[in-house]
Amino acid sequence: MTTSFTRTCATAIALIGVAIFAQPALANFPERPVTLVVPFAPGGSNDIVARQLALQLGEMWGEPVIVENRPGGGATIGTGHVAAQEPDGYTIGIASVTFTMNAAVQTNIPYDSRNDFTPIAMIGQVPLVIGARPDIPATTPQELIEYLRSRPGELSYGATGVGSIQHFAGELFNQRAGTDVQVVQYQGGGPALTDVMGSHIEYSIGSLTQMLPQMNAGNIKGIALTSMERSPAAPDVPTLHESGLEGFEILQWWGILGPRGVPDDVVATLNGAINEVLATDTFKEFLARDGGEPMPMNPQETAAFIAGNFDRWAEVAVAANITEQ
Amino acid sequence: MDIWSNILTGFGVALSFENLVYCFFGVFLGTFFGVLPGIGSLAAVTMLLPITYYLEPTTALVMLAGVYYGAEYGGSTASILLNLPGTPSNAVTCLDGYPMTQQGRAGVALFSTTVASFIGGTCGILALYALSPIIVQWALAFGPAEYFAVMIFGLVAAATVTQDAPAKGLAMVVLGMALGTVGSDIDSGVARFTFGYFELRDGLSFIALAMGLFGLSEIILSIREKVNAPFIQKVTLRSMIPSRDDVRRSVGPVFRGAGIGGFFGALPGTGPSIGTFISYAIEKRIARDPSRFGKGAIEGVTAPESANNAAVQAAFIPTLTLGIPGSATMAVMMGALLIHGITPGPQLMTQNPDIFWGLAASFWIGNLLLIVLNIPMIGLWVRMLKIPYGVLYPAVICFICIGVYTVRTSAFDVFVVLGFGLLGYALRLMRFELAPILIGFILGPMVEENFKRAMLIFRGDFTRMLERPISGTLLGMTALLLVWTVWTVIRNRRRGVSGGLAALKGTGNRNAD
Repeated sequence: MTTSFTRTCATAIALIGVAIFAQPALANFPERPVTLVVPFAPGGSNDIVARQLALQLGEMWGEPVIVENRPGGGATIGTGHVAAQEPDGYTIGIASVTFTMNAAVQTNIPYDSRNDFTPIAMIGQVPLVIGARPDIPATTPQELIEYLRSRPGELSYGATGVGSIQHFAGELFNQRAGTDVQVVQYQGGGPALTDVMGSHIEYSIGSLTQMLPQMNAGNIKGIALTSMERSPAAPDVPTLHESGLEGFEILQWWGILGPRGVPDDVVATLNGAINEVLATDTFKEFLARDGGEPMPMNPQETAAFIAGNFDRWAEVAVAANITEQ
Repeated sequence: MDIWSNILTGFGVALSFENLVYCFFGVFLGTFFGVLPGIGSLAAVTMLLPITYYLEPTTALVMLAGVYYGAEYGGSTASILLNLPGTPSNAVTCLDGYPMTQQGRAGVALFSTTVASFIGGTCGILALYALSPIIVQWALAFGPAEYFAVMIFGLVAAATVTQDAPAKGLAMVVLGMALGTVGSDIDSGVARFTFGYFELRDGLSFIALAMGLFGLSEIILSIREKVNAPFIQKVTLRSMIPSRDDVRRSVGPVFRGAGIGGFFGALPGTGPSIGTFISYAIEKRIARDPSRFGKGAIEGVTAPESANNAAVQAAFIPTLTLGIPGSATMAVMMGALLIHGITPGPQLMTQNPDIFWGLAASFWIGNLLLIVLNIPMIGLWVRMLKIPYGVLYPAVICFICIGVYTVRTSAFDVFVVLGFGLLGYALRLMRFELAPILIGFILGPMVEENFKRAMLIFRGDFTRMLERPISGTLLGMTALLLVWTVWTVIRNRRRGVSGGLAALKGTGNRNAD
């Protein structure tokens, strides 16, 4: 009994050894589970998008994709963890527009945002919307701006921390609309939204994902979108671009990064697989439900897109004076 | 829309074979994880989330909800038996639950907890059924000013949880608040007291803090004290049944606890811990003999446990009806719904009535299952105490480390546990109470944030906070409570150190005894 068990084990180990050495590294990526790091606590938009992607990638590959939440330090801990891993494609991370905004605002990050990562693929994007308190005396973007201008220095809007997307959007809006609305920071989009619904603050500029259900229920007023075009999920809501603030664009997006130095063929495999998921009806519907859409890009386009974001937010941060003290 | 037909539909959904099985499964797993030190409901729900991908949405939620309140319930077992609080709310249960164990009454404590949790949970569910729409409107009236006032009230009430030396208790509340300031300041982004550690940017981990202060320091203390299996427990059914006196003492506190817990649980910005703190503080305030608290008073266990479970159930009200999670665990549950293509929010009740009402019914069934599952288990848990400390404690330390590591996948937090274990040990030697540290730690940052928010919105005009009806009333009550406390102290001084205070002497030492 024991001997035959030992022999079986020995054979198995030998076979595994052969498998490891005989196969070219990439004949079949992935050969073991892939870890997808989410630098936020479970339940947020990054987490939900990552989990849907992981689920579908896992089904496609027949190897599980494990979502690992490493929250903390405003996403720097999880993202730093990705940067420190073996660049073999088995540890990848989700990054959002916040990743490029942090680089513009945070003075002390444990990695080089621009150079310590391999851009792998884009996932999708969703516009933000100005969600205002239900009893605000304005319905159109023009009326809102007029109302805000009429009471300078008296009103407040909600955001989710210094250098958050809501903060960037709010200050960009102040700048472009010539308004003076005070930012009030919250621990997340949910609490900020609650205070809008309770009319404690005027508005919050958050992702359509979070705002849409409340808009449909009449708990908040969806005044304007921050995308260049209207969204099929909320066709009646005008964009700021069409309402006088030409070229006003700020979008939430998600992409996939690896540590610096992931081999090109692994990047191509991952990129291909992710784009295949993006093309499925399941994933399209998943994003569309909340007003988002997939944005398939090849690795070069991904790299260029992210680099462009770094430049843009660095400029906006300076112009709108968004800094950590 | 007839509420009864809705409730019936709900039970129809919840009593389907599949849902029943998963509900049981979830409650069982939740209790199991909750009992493990360091693994709270958040970790348990997160770990089991992937299992639910392949289930029907209602079934998935039924199971996760079972895990959630199973873990909240299981946490009280570890608190009572080993002084290991898995969640902030359980820290309150330690105060009187652990002394009961030391007195050989662990069975009674666990039994009463089970029943109190069930009653609290049932009240919370009734609130969910009957009052959801009203509560939601009312909860929205709470802005930063109102939350600030509630928290200040909680903090002042909490300061009275301490035993004999008010100054020592106050010092610990302040220490807790100071520890709570560690991390990034939300308004400026400034990293406070992080000493260059990125791990500290989001502040100290509550689990690590509680495990160190309560659990590890207890273990260190046992080395020094050389305790030899001090509590021999009889594990007969009789030894678990609370005495008539226990029941008489608990009835009022359990229902008050359920009311207080349900109220605070329904506010999206508070979480269950504040309800348990306040319910404990109130019971102690109105007790005829407050000196019994902290020494194994049964109502010190039943009231906060009832409050906790009521709050846990009521916390589903803002999550399901507003789509706004009241706690991190609720955020994960919401994530689970989103993955299944259901957007929790104002339209859930109308668009997916089977989910809403099925879930509500399953809560109650789950609470019933908790009783069925746990009463036979009590004997087993209590027997655990017969394991020699030389075996039990190293195992507990392992579980603490694993649990704490899992919460944030952070080795740093394991060292935090060690640090706070040593600090807790030192503080116990100096006869300091530890619970106020946790209360300060939880409430301090909330007070600060909401105060700053309110001041930003009001442009620095404090009087506007007093003009608002809810915050004004609450601040007034807080002032009255303060005046009353001071007056009580002065009156007792005048009478000389009379009976009540004399009896309190030395009670603060129980931890070091």
